[in-house]
Amino acid sequence: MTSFTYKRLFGAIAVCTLAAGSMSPALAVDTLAKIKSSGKIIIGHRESSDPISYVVGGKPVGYAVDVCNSVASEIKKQLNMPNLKVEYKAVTSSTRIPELLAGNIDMECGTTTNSKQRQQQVGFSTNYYATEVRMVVKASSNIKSLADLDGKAVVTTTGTTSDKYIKMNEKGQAINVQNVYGKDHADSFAMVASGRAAAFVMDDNILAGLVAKSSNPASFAIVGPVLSSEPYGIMLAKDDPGIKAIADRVVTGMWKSGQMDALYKKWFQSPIPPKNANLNLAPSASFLKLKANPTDAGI
Amino acid sequence: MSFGSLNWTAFCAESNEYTLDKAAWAESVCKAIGGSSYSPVAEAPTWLQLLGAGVITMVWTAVVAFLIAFFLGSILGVIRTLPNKPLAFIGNTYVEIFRNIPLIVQLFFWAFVFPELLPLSLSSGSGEMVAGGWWKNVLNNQPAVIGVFALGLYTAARVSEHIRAGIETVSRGQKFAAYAMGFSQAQAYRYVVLPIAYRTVWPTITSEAMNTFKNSAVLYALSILNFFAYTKTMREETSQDVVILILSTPVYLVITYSIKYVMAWIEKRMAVPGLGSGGK
Repeated sequence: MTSFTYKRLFGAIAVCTLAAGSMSPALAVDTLAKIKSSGKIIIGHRESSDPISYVVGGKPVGYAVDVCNSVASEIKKQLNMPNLKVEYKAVTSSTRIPELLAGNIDMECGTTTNSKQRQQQVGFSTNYYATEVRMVVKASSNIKSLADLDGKAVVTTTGTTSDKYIKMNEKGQAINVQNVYGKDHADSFAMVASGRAAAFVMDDNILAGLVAKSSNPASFAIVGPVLSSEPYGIMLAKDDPGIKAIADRVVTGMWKSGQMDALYKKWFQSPIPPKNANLNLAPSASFLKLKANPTDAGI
Repeated sequence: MSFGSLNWTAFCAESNEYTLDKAAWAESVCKAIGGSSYSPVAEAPTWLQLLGAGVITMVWTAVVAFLIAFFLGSILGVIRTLPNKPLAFIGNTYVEIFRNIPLIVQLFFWAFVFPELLPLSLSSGSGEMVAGGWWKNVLNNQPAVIGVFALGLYTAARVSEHIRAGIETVSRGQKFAAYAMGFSQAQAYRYVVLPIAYRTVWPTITSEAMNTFKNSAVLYALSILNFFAYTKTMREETSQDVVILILSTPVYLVITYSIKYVMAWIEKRMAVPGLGSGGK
C-alpha cells in the first residue's frame, strides 16, 4: 500500500468517528404515539432466563412475559385499539439497552435489574420481582456460609463479580476466595457440577432454574446469606410518562390484586415447560417486601 | 472531555473489579482528562486500566500461541511431505482433526470434556476428588496456559498446511539437484527446500499471524480476561456501547497493522533476489 491509501484509510476512520460523535442525543420519546402509528407493540424478551423470560417452542413465556402481556392488553384498552399486534423480539444482556434506545422494542421483560446506573439511559416501571443474590453449591459439599468458601474457587458469569458481592458483605472480610468466570450461566453452573468450583454466585431465580434443569436437581443446594437484593422492572424508554403510567398501574394492580402471587405460584412452585420441572423456590424476603410496598425504586 | 454527545468519560468510571490494585498510568490519564465520572477515592480501578490490562493479555496470548503454531506447524508440514508413510499419516490426521473443528468447540473440549476423561485427582477449587482435578486447577489458576495451548494447536494445523504447500511448490529439479550434490534428505530440506518454501509462503503465514491475534479474542470463553472480555463486561455494566466500540475497533486495527509491518520487515530481511515477493 502507498502512503496515499494509508492517508485515505485513516481519514475514513476519522470521519466515521466524528460522524458517530455527532449523533444526536436520545430525545424524549412517546412510545404510545409510536405504538398507535405503527399498529404494533414490540416486547423484548430473553431466550434462556427461566423461569422469568425464556423461549419454549419458539414462543416467549415466563413470569415477566406474563407481566408484559398484561401491560400490552392495558395499552390496547387505553388506546382503544383492540387489534393492536403484539410482537416479540429476543434480546441479550448486551443488546437490551441499545435495542430499546433504538426503538426496536417498546418494553423489555427479562431479568433486567432496575439500577440507578441504567436509569441514566432508560426508564423502569414499578418492580415486578425482587431477586436475591445467593450461591448454588453441591448438596454434598457441606458449604453453608461464606466462611466455608475460604481458599475455594467461586464462579460467576462474566459481567458480574462474585468478589464484589462477597467483599460488600461484611462477613467476607476475612476470607480469600478464588474468582473464576463462566462465559454464560450454563457454563458457570457446569463448573460447579464438574467440581471445578465450589460455588456459583447469582440471582436466586436463575440458580433455581439451572438446578431444576440439571440432570440431578437433588444434588445441588442454594445456600448462604443474601449477598445483594435486586429489583427487576419493565424496561421502558426514559422520560416517557405515558407508557410508564400504564405499566406502573398494571404492575401495582397485579401486586394488590394477588395476580402476582398467582404468577409466582405458576412459574416458581408448579411444573413449568419445557421439562415440566418444578423450581420449588419459596418467595424470598425481598420478594415479600416488594409485595408489601410496590415501588419503582432502583438500586 | 466531551466529544459530541458521547460519554467518553465512561472509561474513567469505577469498574466492577475489586481484586486489582489501581495502576498509576490509568489514574493519571483519568486525572488529566478530568472526566466527570473519575473518582480518585474509588475502591475499584477504572475501566481504562482493565482495558489496558486486557490488551496486554490479548497480545501475549496471541504471540505465544503463534510461536507454538509456527514451530509445531513447521514440524507437521515437513513430516507430511516425507516419504515415511506413518509419519505423514500422523501429520495428516492431526491437520484433519484440528483444522476442521471450530476453535470455540476445541476450547470447550479442553475446558469441559477433556478433564472428565482424566483419572480422579484433587480439585482445590471445590476441595473434592473429581475427574481431572489437576487440569481443573490449571483452568482456575492459569486459564491462559490452556487457552494459548488450544489456540496454538488449532493454528498449527493451519500453518502446517501452508508449509506443506510451500514445500510442494519447490520444483522437483531443485530437490534432485540437492540429492545429486550428495545431500542427505535432512540436508536437502535444511539447505535447499525449506529456505525456498518459507519465502514462498511467508505472506500467507502473515495472514495466519493476524488470524491468531484476532482468534485470541475467543479465549474469553475460557475465562481469560483479555481485551474482548473486558469490553464485553464494560458494555454490560455501563451500556456505553458506542464509545466502547469506537475505542476498541482502532485498537484491533493498530495491532493487526503492527503485525503486518513486523512480518513484512522479516520478509524484506529474508528476501533473495529473484525469489518470492521480498516484502513488496
